Amino acid sequence: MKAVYFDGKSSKPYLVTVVRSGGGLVISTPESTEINAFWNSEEIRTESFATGKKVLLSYGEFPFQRLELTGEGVDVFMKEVLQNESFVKKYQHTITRTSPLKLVFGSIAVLGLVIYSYIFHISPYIGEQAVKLVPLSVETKVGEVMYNNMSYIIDKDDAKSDLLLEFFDACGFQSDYNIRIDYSKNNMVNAFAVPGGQIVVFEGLIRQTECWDELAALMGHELAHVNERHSFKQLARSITGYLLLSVLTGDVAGVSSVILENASAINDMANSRKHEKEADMVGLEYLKQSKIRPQAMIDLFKRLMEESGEEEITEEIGSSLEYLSTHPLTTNRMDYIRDWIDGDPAFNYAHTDIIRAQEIWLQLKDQAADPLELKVIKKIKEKIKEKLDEEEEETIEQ
Amino acid sequence: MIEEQHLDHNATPEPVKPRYSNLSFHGQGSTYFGIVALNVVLTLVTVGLYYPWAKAAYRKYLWNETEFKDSRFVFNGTGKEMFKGFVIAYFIFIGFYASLSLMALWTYAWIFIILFYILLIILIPFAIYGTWRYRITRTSWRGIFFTFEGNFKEFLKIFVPQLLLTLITFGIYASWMRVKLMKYLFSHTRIGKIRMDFHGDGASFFGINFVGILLSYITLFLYSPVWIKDRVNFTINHTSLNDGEQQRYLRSSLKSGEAWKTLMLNFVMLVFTLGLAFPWTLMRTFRMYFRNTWVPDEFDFDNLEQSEGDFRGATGDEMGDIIDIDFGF
Repeated sequence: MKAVYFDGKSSKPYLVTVVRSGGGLVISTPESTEINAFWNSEEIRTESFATGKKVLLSYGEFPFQRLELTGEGVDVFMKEVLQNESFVKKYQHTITRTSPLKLVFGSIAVLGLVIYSYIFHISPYIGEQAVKLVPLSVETKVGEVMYNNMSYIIDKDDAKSDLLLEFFDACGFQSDYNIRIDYSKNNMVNAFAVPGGQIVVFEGLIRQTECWDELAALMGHELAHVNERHSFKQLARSITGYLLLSVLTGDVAGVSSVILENASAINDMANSRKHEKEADMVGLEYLKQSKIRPQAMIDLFKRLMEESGEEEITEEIGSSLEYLSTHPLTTNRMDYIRDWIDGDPAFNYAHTDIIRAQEIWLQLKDQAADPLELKVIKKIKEKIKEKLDEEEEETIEQ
Repeated sequence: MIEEQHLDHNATPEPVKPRYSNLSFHGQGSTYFGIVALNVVLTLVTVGLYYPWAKAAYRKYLWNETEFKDSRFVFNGTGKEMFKGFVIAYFIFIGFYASLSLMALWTYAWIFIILFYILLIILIPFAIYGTWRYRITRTSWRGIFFTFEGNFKEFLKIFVPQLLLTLITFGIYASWMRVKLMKYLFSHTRIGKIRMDFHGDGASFFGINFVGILLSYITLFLYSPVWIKDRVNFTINHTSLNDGEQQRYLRSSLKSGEAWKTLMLNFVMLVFTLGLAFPWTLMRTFRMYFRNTWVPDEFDFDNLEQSEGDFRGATGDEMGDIIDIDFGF
């Protein structure tokens, strides 16, 4: 092979012939004795990583000798040299000799697969594992900060908050967290749980409920969020996802990084829907433990759907809407909850009516209700009285 | 080709009209894309720790595809060397975000934030000096390493007043500052006995930037490629080489038309591929810059001598290893 040799001491190029022999390369100038070197194969390093026929090798200690090989036979020779090199170096050499089309499609396929599994599988997993290492006290502290930041929208009613907590205890729900419940005078039809045991219920939602066990179902759902550390997991997942994406965005140019971030955000929503479903399931379990009517959860969602007008929206846009939402579609939720209850004989238990819980709910509902709805309440009150009377009679009979 | 390069400039007593050779760039988008793919995969798998090695791979490729007088440049740096700078940057990054989150939990965390900003400002001269020094001393051509003979204390003596002036003038002085720093870095860089220097003046550079920014806004950035061209040409045309006997300037042949066509097409390519065309646009940009950079032929490029001592050792620089880092944020 013909090559150009540099001795490392000066930039003078020597045209040399290179012959492979005795486990190495014999390098010599053809018509003089100026250069006469032997390179041991095992110590030859590949330096170049360039397209085309040119290959650069280096040898020895500093100042390194260098050899620029060109022309026929180089690729065959390189295969031998690369045997001692790392995977990365082999790959780097190979891609300079792969057809562009193959390279582009191959790269897109590999990149797509890896980034997909990273966003949707690996980063969520790391995030959730990280949560397990965080002690409850830290989670509670973080929750307090989040709660303080939104306390201005809560507009808490202290007396009613105490009643809600009593309601919670009467239902027999339990938690490792110190559960605190806020009754918000806000008209929103909503409720949420903050990491560390803080639950907030808005008056609008209480007004929507039509039976005490619907409120119990709601409490069960929010308690499930707390006990399963959903919001905290969500937080950890977003952070791990963001951290690594930000390392990558140095390499993957502008617009692509926006797409990656949005994919990540959409995945967060999918994940949030998963948590909602989990909270429905665990909440249902709590209802079972307290022998509260499980169908109350379906009723609760019926009220929510009536309020939000979701039915009409989904009829128009279709159920694809769900992908861009943090919650499952209410119709879907009602369906799967019904399936769970029907599919599991364990839910065929005799329902208990927890009197204290009923009383509290009535009181809250009474004070929250619109004048128009008061009639309904009167009716319900009468019904409960009848029931109470019956029970009294029963006890007397016994 | 190689024989032709022996220029007999001693034979002519009268100054000859200078002849030039240009650099050339041979990188291909598809190959670069292949490098990106592997780098991204390994960076993800190692939770980001592979990043310095990825950076070394990009550089090795870019350097290897750059050619002057039939010989390619080589980047001799390694991921291992850059790992140090990376760890520092990583901890600053994490520390900064940790303090930001602390702010929510603890009222006095803003003290940390301010400390971090101060730390960042202190790190700027380290980053500029260290990055230049690192890149220069790890670059070789025909086996001959570039040498940097700066002194960090000297550099700081220039840097600190320049930074203060820039802050006081709300950034207007930045053009002058940049020229001063370039002068220092270039004039302490050499290969063999050929020493670089920089002769640009702040006022002209300010003029280019002032007109460039103004017209860019007026023309809704259609003028921006011309501004970029002016900055590049300003840098190249004011850079000289000196071998102790003669001083000659580099020349740029980049014209507004070529810059405009190349950079605008790059922009369109990026928009229509949602950014995925970046390996190709990057290669196009390098190709444009290098083929328009002309180096005077009067120097004896065949007899550059290697500096004594290992390129990894510090020369005239007592800060030594501490600033042998490459940030490249």
